[in-house]
Amino acid sequence: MISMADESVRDVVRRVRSTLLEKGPAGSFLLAELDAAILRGTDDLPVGARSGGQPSDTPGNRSPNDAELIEIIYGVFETYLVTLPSIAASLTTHLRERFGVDHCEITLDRSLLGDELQLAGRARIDAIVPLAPDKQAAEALRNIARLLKRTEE
Amino acid sequence: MSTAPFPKPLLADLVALIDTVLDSINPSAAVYLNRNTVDAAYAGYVFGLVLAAVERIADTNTVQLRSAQAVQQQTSPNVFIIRGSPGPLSSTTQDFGFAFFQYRGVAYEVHLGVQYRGSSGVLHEFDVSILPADAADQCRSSNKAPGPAKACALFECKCYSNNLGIELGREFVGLKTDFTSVPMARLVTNADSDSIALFLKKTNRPKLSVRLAPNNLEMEQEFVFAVADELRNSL
Repeated sequence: MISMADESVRDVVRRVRSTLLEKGPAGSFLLAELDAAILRGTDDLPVGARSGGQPSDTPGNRSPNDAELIEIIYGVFETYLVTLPSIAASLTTHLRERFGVDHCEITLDRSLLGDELQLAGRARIDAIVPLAPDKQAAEALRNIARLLKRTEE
Repeated sequence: MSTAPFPKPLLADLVALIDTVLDSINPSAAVYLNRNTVDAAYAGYVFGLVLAAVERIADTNTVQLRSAQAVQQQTSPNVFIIRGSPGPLSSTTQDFGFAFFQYRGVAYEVHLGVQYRGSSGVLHEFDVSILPADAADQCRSSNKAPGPAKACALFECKCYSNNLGIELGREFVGLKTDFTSVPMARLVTNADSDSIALFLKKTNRPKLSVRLAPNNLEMEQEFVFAVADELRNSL
């Protein structure tokens, strides 16, 4: 087993991947998104490209470096564990307050649904998205963002 | 772009924080989470913001929620059902929700995930779209998809964890060529993309809204005002 002190960023990614495999449906989804995000790479424009005239280099996909890999892990957590639950909550709150809707549901192919939902063919939006992170995890995510900012400076 | 190895002390801190986040994931939660449901949920959120824009311009007290199995009913459905995958506007297999409003006396509908027939004759789906209510009624009675000139506004919604790849911009521009007479098209995302921003800057290309999420009130407001303005000019 690799000790933490010797761990490279690539080792961290591998460890995150194997932990996600043990985390049920949410973990499987996060793993698929993490893999896809790493394969997509980054698509940043080279410095100077926005200052007018022609880009000094050609923008396009490239493999992520170490810092970008950590940013990708953070991005996957932040998007699907924080933003997505807030999206579901925002939609439900808006439709409830403005139009008196009780809740929202999303239809799914019945092959993807459990026995109890075969008749309905849909699931409540709050059963589809992960729960908002607990206080400790939310704080950890904020601290990851802070540390990543420090590496950029 | 820095290629230096990640600083070790910082990495150790990050690993501990990442472990805390991983520990918090409940293995028995979110059993139906997949790419389609994420996109459908995000489209639902954008639908809510489009409604907020519509409320800024619509004739007084005309914005309502309706549903496929009770099209003429003027009370909101108790449960608002979102399409998890695209389908025909005329479908009543589920009681799909949509919105209704009037602008300058003309009735319109706002739909989620319905298919339109492009000028090529091929069916395409749009995450959020606005069309005149009489065109929607025609689709329901004929059981046919709305044609290439029927939509007034089209929104493509993308919820991703990192910057969008340029291919998503290309795809939407390509899709829009099958709907050349639609006056308003917008690619909406919670993420960002320098490449797509540049790509869509050219005249007559769809507009782009980035970093649109509930934790970004500024962008939400900007989106609502921009869409309201565009609708005033397009409807």
